[in-house]
Amino acid sequence: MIGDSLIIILLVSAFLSVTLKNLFHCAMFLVLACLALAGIYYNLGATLLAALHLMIYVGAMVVLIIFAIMLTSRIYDRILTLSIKQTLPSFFAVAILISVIISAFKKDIIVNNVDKLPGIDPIFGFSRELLTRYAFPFELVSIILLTALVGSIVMARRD
Amino acid sequence: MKYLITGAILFGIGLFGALSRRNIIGILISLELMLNSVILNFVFFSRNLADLSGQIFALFIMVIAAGEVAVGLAIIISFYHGAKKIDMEGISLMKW
Repeated sequence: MIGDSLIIILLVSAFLSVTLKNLFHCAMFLVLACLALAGIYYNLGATLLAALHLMIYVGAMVVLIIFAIMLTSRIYDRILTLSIKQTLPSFFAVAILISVIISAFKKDIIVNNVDKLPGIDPIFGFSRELLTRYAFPFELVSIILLTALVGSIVMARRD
Repeated sequence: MKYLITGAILFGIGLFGALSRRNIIGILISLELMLNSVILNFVFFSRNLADLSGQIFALFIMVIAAGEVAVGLAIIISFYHGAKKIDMEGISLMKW
């Protein structure tokens, strides 16, 4: 089944991108995790969101991260140190957190197996909702993005 | 149901990375994974409840994540100009 294999690819590559020692390999496995996530969105019926995820994450964000890696360290020299003093307690804390969350899921979540959203084309409905009901948050989030980009330019400028 | 468990495990992986890494870019990668797990939950519930609002909020989260990565990498680069390293131990400029 294609959904299960996508989930396995996603979890394995996410784990590798968090634990590998070479930072460039971590970014490459982040690309793989984002590709698997876009496949999962497509599988869940969110086709436009899958395309946007590919464009934003794989196209822009990982490229930005790789640029930062190249600007700040030599790629094949640097080995990341990862101390056991931090790793073991954080592993146990995360394991407890995940077990609590999953045990909370088991009780009362209604799962209905609709294959598509009923009646409406997802791209058409998405765009209509975005420009009518969520028009004000849409404009607000564009202002936030503009502010963040101008701020990052100001901060990274050497003077 | 399996998508919810996947989202929880993905959030846990990202949290583990953010807690155990010392490199700042590694922490940013872990933050991306955590935000992605939240988006996965939104998309799953959008399909499950047959409501498109979840996908729109997923789009908003993506935009906020893009701004966050841009600002974070700008901070990293401007810090690297001064200190020549990007480990978390070196950053105590705003600590008192």
